[in-house]
Amino acid sequence: MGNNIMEIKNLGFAYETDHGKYEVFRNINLNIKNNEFFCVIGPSGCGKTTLLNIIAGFESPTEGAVYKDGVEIKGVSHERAVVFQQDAVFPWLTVYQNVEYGLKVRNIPPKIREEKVKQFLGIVGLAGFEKAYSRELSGGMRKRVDLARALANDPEILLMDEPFGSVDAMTKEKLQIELTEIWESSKKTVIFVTHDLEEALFLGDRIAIMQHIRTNIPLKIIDVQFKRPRKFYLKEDPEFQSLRRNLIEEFRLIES
Amino acid sequence: MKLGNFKSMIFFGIILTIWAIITLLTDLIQPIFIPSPIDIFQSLWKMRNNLPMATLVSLSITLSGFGIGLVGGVALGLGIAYSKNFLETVGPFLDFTRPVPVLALIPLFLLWFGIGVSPQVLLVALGVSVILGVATYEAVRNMPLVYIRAASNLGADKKTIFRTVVIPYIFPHLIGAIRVGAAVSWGLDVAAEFMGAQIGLGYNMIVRQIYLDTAGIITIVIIYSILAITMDQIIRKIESKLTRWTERGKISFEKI
Repeated sequence: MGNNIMEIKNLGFAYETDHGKYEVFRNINLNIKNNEFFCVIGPSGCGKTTLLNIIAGFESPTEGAVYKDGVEIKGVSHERAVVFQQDAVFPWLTVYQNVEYGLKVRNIPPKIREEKVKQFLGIVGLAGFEKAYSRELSGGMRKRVDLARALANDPEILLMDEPFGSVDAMTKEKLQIELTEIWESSKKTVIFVTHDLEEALFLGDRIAIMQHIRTNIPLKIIDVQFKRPRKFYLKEDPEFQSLRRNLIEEFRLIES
Repeated sequence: MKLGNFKSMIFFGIILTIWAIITLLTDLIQPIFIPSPIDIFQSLWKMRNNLPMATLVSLSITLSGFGIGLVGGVALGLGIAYSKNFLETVGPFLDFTRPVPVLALIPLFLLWFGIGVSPQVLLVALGVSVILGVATYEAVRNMPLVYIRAASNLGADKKTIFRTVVIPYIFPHLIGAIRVGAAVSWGLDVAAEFMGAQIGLGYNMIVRQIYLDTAGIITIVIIYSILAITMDQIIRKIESKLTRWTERGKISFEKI
């Protein structure tokens, strides 16, 4: 693994409500290494989506800062591409036009755009669907368009916010396997937020365990030692299951 | 809404038959209140020299007023949604002037502009622009944040986001307001012609009313109705062509 591509120092986020200031999280410190698949897990309300939004640049922290290559992050950038939990594929554009979008707005010449769109549609397994509209596609296929659209911009970091949260279990399995295979070929830095422990263990190199702020439990980071490339039968491996049980223990003792 | 199904034709036929029987074969209702079908045809024939020109004039006033109001209203709505500065400067003034009933401006317009076609077009445009302006603004404010964030993340600036994301997205959501605006524009045309027009369908209606020519009035009402219905059908046709990407029309409450 290389050096740190991202450093998060003393990050805190709070917002004003009618009842006073509500703190979502505080004192988050972590480093993301170059080319690693970094997962963040936690229960609903722990602030993991907010954390991702701050890294993406959609929100500003109330305390601390996020540094990418030593420079403080201000605002969004296509270098930190996001795959959202909700359906973010533009329904008024075809699959081709969607994947092309980031390239087009950054004035990449048409020939190169065409190459890249075809390349990434191929990578996500949607070759031939260029002219389809999103309403003609299943949820899993839309997620793939989302992924292709983000990857086509060649971002340095891929930010994924529970991207498979809204698809069915079988599609989810399939997408997880596809994602890890795609990742193997490019080894981009990925920050992946999920509440699914198995998903985090299957995909990640390291996992940050984020607890709800009222538990006062600090962020804990664990290494995931399984060999790469990860295969689908890893989930049945006894060591995988015991690691999963350990993870569950981190949350079980806490009353919600 | 299909005009031609069997049930509705029978219903329509029954009403027409009852009307014809009562007015032609009995003395229950005086012609001045409800004329017979034959009276209507006769008055159509009597007015045959006037009507084509009158129809053309009313049609042009309505369509130009509608067109100007549509473009102006949408532009205003987009402008207010786009620029906070614009909103804060112009907003309060609009909040003050918007609730003024457009028809109440008729005497004022007569004083300012005299008798002519332009104040009539202006009146229609004003009425339509209020409807479209509010609808546009609300549509923009209510659009899903994820699309804006995705576009921003992919590298689009504010202007590009408005052009490539906001406007395509809100278009289907404006259909209702556009159809209401079209319907309203006809009503405003009638009112506008009441304020001193020298030619047009509305003007002819006043003349017919002075002569107590109920059949004439009803004939003109029928012509107005045909024009309004045709315009609405055209709008719906255009709308269905341009919104193929939405999931409109899939809702069926029959099976629930």
